Amino acid sequence: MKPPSEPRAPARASLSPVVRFPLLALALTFSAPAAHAQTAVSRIPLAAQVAEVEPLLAARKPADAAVLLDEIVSRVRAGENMPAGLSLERLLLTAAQTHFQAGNLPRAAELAEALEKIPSTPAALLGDARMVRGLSLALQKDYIAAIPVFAAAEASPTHRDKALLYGALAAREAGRLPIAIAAYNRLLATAPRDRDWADAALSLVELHLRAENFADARRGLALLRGQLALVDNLAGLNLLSLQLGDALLKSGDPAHAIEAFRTITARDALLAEQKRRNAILERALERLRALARPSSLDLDAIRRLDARLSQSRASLAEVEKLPAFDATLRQHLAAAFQERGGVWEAALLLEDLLARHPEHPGREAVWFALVRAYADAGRLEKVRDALERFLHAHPGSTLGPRALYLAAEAAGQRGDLPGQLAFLDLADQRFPSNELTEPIRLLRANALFALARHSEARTVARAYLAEFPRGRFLEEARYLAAMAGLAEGHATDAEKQILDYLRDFPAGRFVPDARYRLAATAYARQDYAASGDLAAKWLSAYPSDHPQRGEVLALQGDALAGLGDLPGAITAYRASLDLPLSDEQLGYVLDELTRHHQARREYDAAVALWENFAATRPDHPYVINAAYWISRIRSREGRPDEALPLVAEITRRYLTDPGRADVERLLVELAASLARTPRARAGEPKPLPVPEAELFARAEELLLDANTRESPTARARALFVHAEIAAARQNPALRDEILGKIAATYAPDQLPAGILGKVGDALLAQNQPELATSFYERLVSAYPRSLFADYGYVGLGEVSLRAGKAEEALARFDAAIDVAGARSKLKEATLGRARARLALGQLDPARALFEEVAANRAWRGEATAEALFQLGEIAARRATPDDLAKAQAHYQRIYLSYKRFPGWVAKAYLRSAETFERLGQPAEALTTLNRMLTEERLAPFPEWQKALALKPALEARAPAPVVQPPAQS
Amino acid sequence: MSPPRLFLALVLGHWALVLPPAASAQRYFLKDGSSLAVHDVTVASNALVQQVKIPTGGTYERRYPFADIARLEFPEPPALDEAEALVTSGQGETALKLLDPVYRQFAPFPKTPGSPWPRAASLRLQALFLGTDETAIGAAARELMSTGLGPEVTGVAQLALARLDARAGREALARLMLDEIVKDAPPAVTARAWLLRGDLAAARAAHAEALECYLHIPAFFGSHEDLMPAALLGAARAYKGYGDADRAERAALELIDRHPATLEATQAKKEFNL
Repeated sequence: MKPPSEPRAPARASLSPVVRFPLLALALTFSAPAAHAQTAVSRIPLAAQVAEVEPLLAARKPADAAVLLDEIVSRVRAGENMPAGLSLERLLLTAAQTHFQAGNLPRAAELAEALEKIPSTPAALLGDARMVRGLSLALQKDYIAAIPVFAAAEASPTHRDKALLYGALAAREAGRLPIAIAAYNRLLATAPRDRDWADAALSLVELHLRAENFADARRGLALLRGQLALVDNLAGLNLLSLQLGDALLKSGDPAHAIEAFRTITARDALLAEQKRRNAILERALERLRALARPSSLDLDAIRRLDARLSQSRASLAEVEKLPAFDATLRQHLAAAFQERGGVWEAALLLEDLLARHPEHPGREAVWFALVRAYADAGRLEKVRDALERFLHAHPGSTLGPRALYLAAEAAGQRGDLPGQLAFLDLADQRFPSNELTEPIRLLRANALFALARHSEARTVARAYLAEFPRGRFLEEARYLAAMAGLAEGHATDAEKQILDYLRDFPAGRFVPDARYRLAATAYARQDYAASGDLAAKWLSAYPSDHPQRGEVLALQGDALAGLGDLPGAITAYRASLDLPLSDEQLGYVLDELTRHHQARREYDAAVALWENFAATRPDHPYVINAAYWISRIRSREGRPDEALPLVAEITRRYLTDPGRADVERLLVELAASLARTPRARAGEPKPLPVPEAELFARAEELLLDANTRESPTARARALFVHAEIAAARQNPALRDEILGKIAATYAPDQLPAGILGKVGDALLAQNQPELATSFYERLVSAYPRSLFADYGYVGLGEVSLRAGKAEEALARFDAAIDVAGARSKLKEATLGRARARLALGQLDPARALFEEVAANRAWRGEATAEALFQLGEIAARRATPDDLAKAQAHYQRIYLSYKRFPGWVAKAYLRSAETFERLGQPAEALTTLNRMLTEERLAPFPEWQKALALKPALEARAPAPVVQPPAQS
Repeated sequence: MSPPRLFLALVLGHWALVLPPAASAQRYFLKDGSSLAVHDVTVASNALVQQVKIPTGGTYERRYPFADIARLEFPEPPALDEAEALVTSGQGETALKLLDPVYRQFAPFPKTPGSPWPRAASLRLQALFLGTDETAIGAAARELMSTGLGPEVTGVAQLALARLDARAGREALARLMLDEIVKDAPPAVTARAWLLRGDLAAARAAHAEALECYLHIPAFFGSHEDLMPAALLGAARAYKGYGDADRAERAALELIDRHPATLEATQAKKEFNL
């Protein structure tokens, strides 16, 4: 990521040599040089010449003094005696300092070096000389040469700190960062915590940053943040934090980058505070400069303050030059969060940035980052919204296709394939040709394939092949087109395409799958021998750890089973179980094995298979299937008790979790096993059924233990088993009583989906639609994808229908089928749709639905009786003789064939009589009524009274017919 | 440490040992530059009262109105730090016992510079919140708001009222108050308001909304380390409720890793089996 307008290290960027070496003139104050005259030197006594130096220096004429001193040095070197009290070492030092002051740096360095070479030079003078030479070299930009000189000067107790500081500065300028860092570290280790220390620490942080010692830079900044009162260059500190954050982000350390960014002050506050601190510095400087006779310490302080103020001003100017400082900081912080996986935080920051900084020049990139953050978080609604806003703000953005592609990928990862297609379609519409056109087209074909829109997938894949004959995804498109054709059922064509693919891409990445598909194609056309052969070849061609091996073994099992080789099939299936399989494949293989074992009456083997599965994969969702099958198989063998402990143990694992809807399947099986009357043993009388109370106690003993007893869900499930036992024992009243007890004891949110539906049904049957509604609503809102969701939709439809809200009811019944898949309630949902259509006056659709119900043999029963009656009613409404005759046939079918449903029989008799009357056949009508009135079981129904009322009128119009009993169905 | 500084520190340290604590430092500074030792005056209803001896015998009262007091120079009462620790550990009643004397003693000087009353009153409000006396909580919050101690203290009081509404199930009122707070309160208060917003959303099982509220703390108020444990725990729970188990665990781990000694970290360990 690019840093915000490159805020560079202010100290480094803005320092002049003088600022870098603010104490360069300090050396001049070490000692007062002797005075000197400037002419006719040879004839003047040396002592007098020396005496002339001091006035020149006092008059601030160092150049003149330097000339004089050079003369003195040469006279001494020529053999003249030194004046009393003056040594050669002192003379050389004074000359060096004076040349330094005059700006003659090479000469200053030369003289200082000469002094350093004199073995007798006292340590104090040696330190001074080294400082003069070091500074002279540094100011000539010979930093490399200056470094060892300053290092040597560290030996001087007087000059140690300055030598370290200048040594560090020289090393920094020379690019010798380790040396500079080491010098700063030595300096900071012993320096007092004052403003100089803070300056040095700031410089050290900058060096660490340049040297990419990020950990040290972080520590340094943290230390400075703890001493903020000492830091005058606050803007510099913030700029360094920004640089550090960016550097850390770039180096892949977003966590510490976030820490660095967090410490940065907002621009306005920072500017205000820096101006305040600069003003304080300026005032301090003014006070010192106003001194009439500043001491050497004052002069030193002036230079230091001046340098510090220059740096602070430079940093301030740098921040002022960055109007987008805050927005950029926010953007970088968001990027750091994004890199760290904090996509929600990133989105918050980016939204805030867009809201607060409408003029931010980088908004286009911010929009893109926002879409990415939402996409990475899987928040598809937010992705849509952000995309819409982005494309509205920047309709032609070059980032648009990338954003749409990201969104499509995110939707695909979340399984929202229609959403994925919508993004891809939008990308095609808005950006018909862009750098991502190819992947977008291929992704579209993939999405269509995944949506089982195979024909479209094939079309899109073929269009890609036509448009991009040398495309990057040629292989993928070819294979996808073939697979789409295969899925569409064009097996022969697909087989040819697969063979073509294998020819053209012999080392392609889909080759193993292609060879497997060929075997599967052979199986599909029932060429089991070819299928088995191809599967065997596949198995010998690929290594034992190939991820598709399990699938191929399962296919081999299928082929062998097709050939009648069940032992071989079982061996292949079992081998596949030891290899990776998808859950769907695993379920298939386990079911096939169970089926084949049962066909061979190998019950123990089937049970062992599931027991082994439950033991080795105790957390797998199919463990419940294991319990189910073990129970079923043992019950079939007449040994249900043997399965109960294991089934109960498995059931207890999930008993407290209302989200595990498949537990109810087990509970039903458990109840059926318990309720079953034990088989009679040979020679013994048939055992009596176990009393229900005993069964209930047994169920509780099996299900409720220390881990489950306190759970309301578990207790409700135990009661549900009681209800199922009552149902199995043909005791619907007890069943409904128990379900009512569950409704009264437990809140809907404590109950699993399977119980919610059944309790709702019981309440509805007890004419408590409002209470039932709360259970149904909980079911469809909390478990919309559960096996039992259709209970909720059908129940709510029924309640709506009863309330006269036919349209609402229709929507519910539709949802039961379309949304919930109507796994358990397809009959009720279909009947409900038919009733709702009828109530809405939509006779033809209603008739079609009632006919569907009436024609379904599996649903034969009361639903059929009702469907027939309603078909009669629909026909009767049309009132043509033909329709009336059809209606009559429907009514007759009811009272002849569906006598078990007296309510419908009574209705059918009455409507039949009325229809005969409308057809002008009063005698037949009277006969029908008389037949009805012979069935006293119909007396409680309202139609009975209506029949009695109608009878006299019919008798008046027709002779009394001979009463005959109705024909048997 | 240089010798003079060392010397100075030693001398000061010596004084600190030999002088009676606080007494000498307890003074009222008046606007005219003079000062009064605490033991020289008594506090009346609206003024300090000094008994001045008359040379001829007897005394008379000299009154210094509170309005003439420029600042107080009292050492910070140790009870405040102790009470703060108690409040942090959830011991509201014990904290109140320590706070009440300070709160009452400095009640006449709520806004006088140097007065420990604002801190005492704020801590008292926090301590009250650990109990159930909603009337007292409301009164304490309104007292702080009406004292005009600046946006920070006012914000804390507003936040307390919002929490009170939330606790009483008046969520709409609480949200209105929080909306006001996040508009212009100081960062520390605003951050707390976002936390409370998160709690309200979490109680409604509005997990995405709760997450956005909690995550305002790391995103915008990252330097407020004291709020991070609550924000991270809230975020971990909200991620879980939202169905993002991975991020839930990551947030909980970050909490445990970075703030191991907090109650929230202990709770996270328990809730997330970490």
